[in-house]
Amino acid sequence: MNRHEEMSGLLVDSALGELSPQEQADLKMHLDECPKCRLESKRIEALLKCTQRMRELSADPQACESAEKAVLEAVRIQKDKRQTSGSNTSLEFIRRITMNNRTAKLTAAAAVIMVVLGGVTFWPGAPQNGKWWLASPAVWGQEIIAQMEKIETLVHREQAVIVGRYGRTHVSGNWSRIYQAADRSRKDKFYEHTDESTFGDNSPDSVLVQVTWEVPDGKDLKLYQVSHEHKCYTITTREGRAYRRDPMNELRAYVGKLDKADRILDTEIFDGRECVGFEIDSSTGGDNPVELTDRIWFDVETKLPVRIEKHGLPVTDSPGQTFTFIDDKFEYHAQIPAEKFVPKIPDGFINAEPGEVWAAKDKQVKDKMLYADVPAGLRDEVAGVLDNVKTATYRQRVGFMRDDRWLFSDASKLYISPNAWREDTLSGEKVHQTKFFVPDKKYWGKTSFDFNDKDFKLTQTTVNFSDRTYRVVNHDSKSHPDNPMDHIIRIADMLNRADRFWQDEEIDGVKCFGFELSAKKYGSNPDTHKHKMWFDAKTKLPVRMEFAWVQTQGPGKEVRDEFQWNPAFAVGTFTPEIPADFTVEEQD
Amino acid sequence: MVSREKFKTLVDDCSKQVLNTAVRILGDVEQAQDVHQEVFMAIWRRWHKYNGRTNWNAYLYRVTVRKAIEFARRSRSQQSLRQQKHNGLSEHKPDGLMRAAELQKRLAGSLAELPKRQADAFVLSRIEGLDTRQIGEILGCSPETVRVHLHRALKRLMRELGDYLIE
Repeated sequence: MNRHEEMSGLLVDSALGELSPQEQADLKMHLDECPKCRLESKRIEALLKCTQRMRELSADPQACESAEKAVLEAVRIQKDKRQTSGSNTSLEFIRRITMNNRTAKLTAAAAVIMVVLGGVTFWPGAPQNGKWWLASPAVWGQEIIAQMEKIETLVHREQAVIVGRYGRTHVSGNWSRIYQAADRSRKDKFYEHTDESTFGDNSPDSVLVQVTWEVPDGKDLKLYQVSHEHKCYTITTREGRAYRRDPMNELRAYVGKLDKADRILDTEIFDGRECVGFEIDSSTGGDNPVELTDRIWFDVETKLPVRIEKHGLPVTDSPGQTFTFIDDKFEYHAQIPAEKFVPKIPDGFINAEPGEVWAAKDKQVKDKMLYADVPAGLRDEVAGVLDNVKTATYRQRVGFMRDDRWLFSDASKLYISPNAWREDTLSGEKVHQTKFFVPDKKYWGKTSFDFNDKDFKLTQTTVNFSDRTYRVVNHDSKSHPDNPMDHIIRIADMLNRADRFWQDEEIDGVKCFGFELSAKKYGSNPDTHKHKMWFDAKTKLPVRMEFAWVQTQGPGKEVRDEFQWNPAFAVGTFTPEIPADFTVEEQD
Repeated sequence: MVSREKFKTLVDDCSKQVLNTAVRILGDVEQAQDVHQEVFMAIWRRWHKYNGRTNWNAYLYRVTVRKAIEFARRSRSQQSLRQQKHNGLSEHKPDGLMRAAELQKRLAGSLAELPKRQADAFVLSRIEGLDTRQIGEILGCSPETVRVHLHRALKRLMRELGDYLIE
């Protein structure tokens, strides 16, 4: 990172009063020389002046009195209505009373009507062309709840997707089918190797790995967990916990959350049915705040939930990734054969926890793994810094050891932005080939929510300046290559699992800390595959990465270096420009 | 004291705080009154669940900021400055209010686009003037976490509002 980047990073710290006197003096000196930072500093000042003005606003005493009276009147009306009806109705109407005062409009049109439906509050709207979700909330909500109350059995599928920060998605091979009845349930967990977006569904490649039953035993609840993967089982008793459950409980809770919906989504087709969706912010607070978003789609015809997505669930030990859980393929009033809920333990299975069996096997297969002492909080600091990276460039080379020397291929230069990226392959100093990876502009800025977008397209354009040819390949959501930034973040996230950690190493004149990690730590990789990564000790940004392996001809490695973080790119950096005389190379 | 009386006491004691917080975010007293009613009616609906240990100061700050920002998100336009002058807002400096009101509108809209915690931390710090320790108590997190949220919020707002901040 150069001096300008370093100083511009301090502008926000300065605005929040967090710089030391020396840092403040350094910043002031830089501002005297840098018009760009001076402008940025003025902008920050303008924003904080705006907030200062906002701080000085207040309501006059009569407005306050009016507001108090309105609340108390609304409470009185609500209580009177309850007493008159004599029942705890699920429908309540609350009208904000516009008091007669000089701060408010006095007409009925100024009153806001909020319809409260068993805890669900909808904003009023009018039916438009059969779009019932904009119609009177009382009818819509009442209908959904009434339908749900009749449903006693439910079957649905659950699946998980791992999402990288730059949009890379990986569908987990694990998926489950869940059966729910009034007092019992069963969960069948399958494993299927998937590519980017195929969802497992009883395909021939799905293997049953685990079955879990929850069934009543008198007043107790018994949990049977049978792992077909590890050929073991456990039985747990929860005393006094046998109870009548409501399979629709979680779905009803989602309907109840719709009063906090942030927006209505465009209709989509799921399983051949047109559905309307709602998006709800379900973030949690506390010392480890988590930004969560739920999306729930309802069948336009039946008004029952068809799909629920829970976005943003953290992945343990990978701050750069999140989980999205998907519940779909709901079967309401499902006819579930009674034997589905009868626990079966195959002959020869041992009584043990699956985790213990797996750990024992893993220990046999792999050597004892090393874990270095990494300073507490360092990985999260690095993750936080990478969170603020918007653009990057770096050099990439592949080398092989021959006669005790590393020989490197021609280098590539990568240019990365959150949406598009580009790879220039160099021949000496000259660009021999450029690959552009550019999603359709309508997907720029899209989030992980849209990974199931069937119209998604990423265009890869390869321009070969040596052969004077070009080639265009369109990737869909199943096959698109990943943004290189996602990979960098994934490796950096593994800092806490390092085999070795070191500090005070100088790389290209920059004081760095670094770590080494065996690739077997995160999968069935050979011990000879190792990653190394160095970070600027001050900025915590990557300075160098190496991926080493051993093959029959000897050691090889891929090296990434010469990183520049958050550089400004010229207009057109990600726009393929193909000279008129270049010929198209046919696709295979 | 019966429930309703206790609730009335809460409204009497805390209305000013709730209303003023909403006014500062929305810049419009009528919208702030809507938020005020939403806040207290939401509390009333769950009144039987609150125990004597609720920290009302922190709770009301949290809920009011959240509801005001949600309100800003739902309502896409705010009243003009001319109407604001007749709406009982107390202002201290009349100069430059036209431009200030426009920027404030934009800021309220941008707050609605921030992640919740960042928006909450920013409002409580920059608009309500609380320090990180106080904000941490309200949001249920450490002062360090509050600082992280503030940093991120400020950076994102700078990006969102860029052009509107040039004199």
